[in-house]
Amino acid sequence: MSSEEANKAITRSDLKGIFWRSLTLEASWNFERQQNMAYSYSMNKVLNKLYPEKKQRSEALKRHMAFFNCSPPLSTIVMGITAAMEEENANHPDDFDPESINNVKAALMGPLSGIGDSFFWGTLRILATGLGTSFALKGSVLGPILFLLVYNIPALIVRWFGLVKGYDLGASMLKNAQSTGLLKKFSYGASILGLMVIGGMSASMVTITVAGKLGQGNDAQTWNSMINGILPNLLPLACVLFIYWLLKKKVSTIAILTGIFVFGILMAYLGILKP
Amino acid sequence: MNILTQAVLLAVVTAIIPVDWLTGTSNISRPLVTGALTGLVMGDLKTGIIMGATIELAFIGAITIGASRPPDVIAGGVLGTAFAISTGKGAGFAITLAFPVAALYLIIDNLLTILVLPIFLKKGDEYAEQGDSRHLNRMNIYGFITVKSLPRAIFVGLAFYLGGPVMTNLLNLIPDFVQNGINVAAGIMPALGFALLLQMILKKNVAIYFVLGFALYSYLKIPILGISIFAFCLMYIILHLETRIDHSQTKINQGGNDNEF
Repeated sequence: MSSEEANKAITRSDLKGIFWRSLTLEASWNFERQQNMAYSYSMNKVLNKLYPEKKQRSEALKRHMAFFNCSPPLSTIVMGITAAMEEENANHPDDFDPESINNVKAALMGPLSGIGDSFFWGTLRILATGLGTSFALKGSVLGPILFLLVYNIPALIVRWFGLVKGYDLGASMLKNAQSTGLLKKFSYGASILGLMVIGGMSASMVTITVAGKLGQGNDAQTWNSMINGILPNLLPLACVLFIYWLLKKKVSTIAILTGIFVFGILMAYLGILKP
Repeated sequence: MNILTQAVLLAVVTAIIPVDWLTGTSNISRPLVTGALTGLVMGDLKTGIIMGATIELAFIGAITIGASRPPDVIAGGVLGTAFAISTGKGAGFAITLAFPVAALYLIIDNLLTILVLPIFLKKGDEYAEQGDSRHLNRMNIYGFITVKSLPRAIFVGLAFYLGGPVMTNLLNLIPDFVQNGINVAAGIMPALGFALLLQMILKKNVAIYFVLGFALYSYLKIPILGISIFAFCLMYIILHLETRIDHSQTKINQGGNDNEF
């Protein structure tokens, strides 16, 4: 193909750029869109290269300012895949649906966070802390040093290889002859994975506890266990769906956020909910 | 070393510690590390390391998962260690002081994140619209300095200068229902994150998988990693079946033109 030479390609050194920038993933963490500014920061150098024209670049920058939250060591897998997708979009703007980029991001961040949080936070960090504190409690400076090494060496290795493998995976999938069909499948499969994990996390990570009891003495039942008797985690589910509905109604995230704070304090004041 | 010099030095160290979030969430903000740094500044490295480890074990559950936010381990770790060294009162004292200051700073940090960070975010949106990635990049760093680094440093410096009892009194001034209410709100907060994610990927034909994931946890208590494994298998099976259906349909459609048969 003659257009092959005109193709804009992401090189190894571009991936290095993403790697270093990805280290700032939590620098400007915010309630509204969480790690989004750092995500766009990580991608920007590559986007500049792929989109010399201002209009396309602006579209791409806006794309990566969308909500993002992922366990940091695994976040680069998503960056690698989306870099390959941006590359495809820059080279074949007519056959590529840029909306699929954010679909893939949204679908992957949940499952990767589930895996990343339980491995890096739940396992590796506890291991490093155990080793570190055993030295530190005796006053040895080896404590903090070992703690940092045991955690960070695996985390950085995973971060780099996740990026490279993510990019290769994205690129090889897109180079396939039936790339659009395959991408659609990938996007569909990823949303199955994403939604199941978000469903599970909605139940496990949102906590609402109703205070108070119904009845007296030994027969007394807490309101909380009654509500959970109807459907376990009914209130967390209701919360997620209600906020989803508000978002659909174009209520701003900041308004919802403020609402949650005011609601929490009000409910605690009235003694209806407890932490 | 007089108390003012120490307060300034502690503030400087505290301004640097959030670099944790510029270095790949490298955990340098954990008390195990900050205790040692505080000890170095206070002139007693060994006690600093021991206090840091003690506070670390007390705070081991305090980590950020999703959108839930734990008490501030930086303020807690640095001030707990610093007060333990300056008063010579030992580990128990360090921990009893670390918790109130960590809780107090969490409130301040939440307010800053809610009120100040969106300014940079909004600016960032404007730069994205203009295709100006250079200025957009700066917003990431400015947000970090203005919200995560400087206010913490000022808080720690001031808190050390004023002394531990003042901090505890300050926290006691805040009514219980406000602190409980913030915790209630923090419990609900992740719901916003999930709703934002749903807004990005929820479509009618896949909504059922959300229900499945919810039920797997609610009724069977399968941990998230387990749900991911089930989801992955299910995804594989569905894609496999659909590919087979697609293939058989293509064959039917192509009819006599199919050379393979």
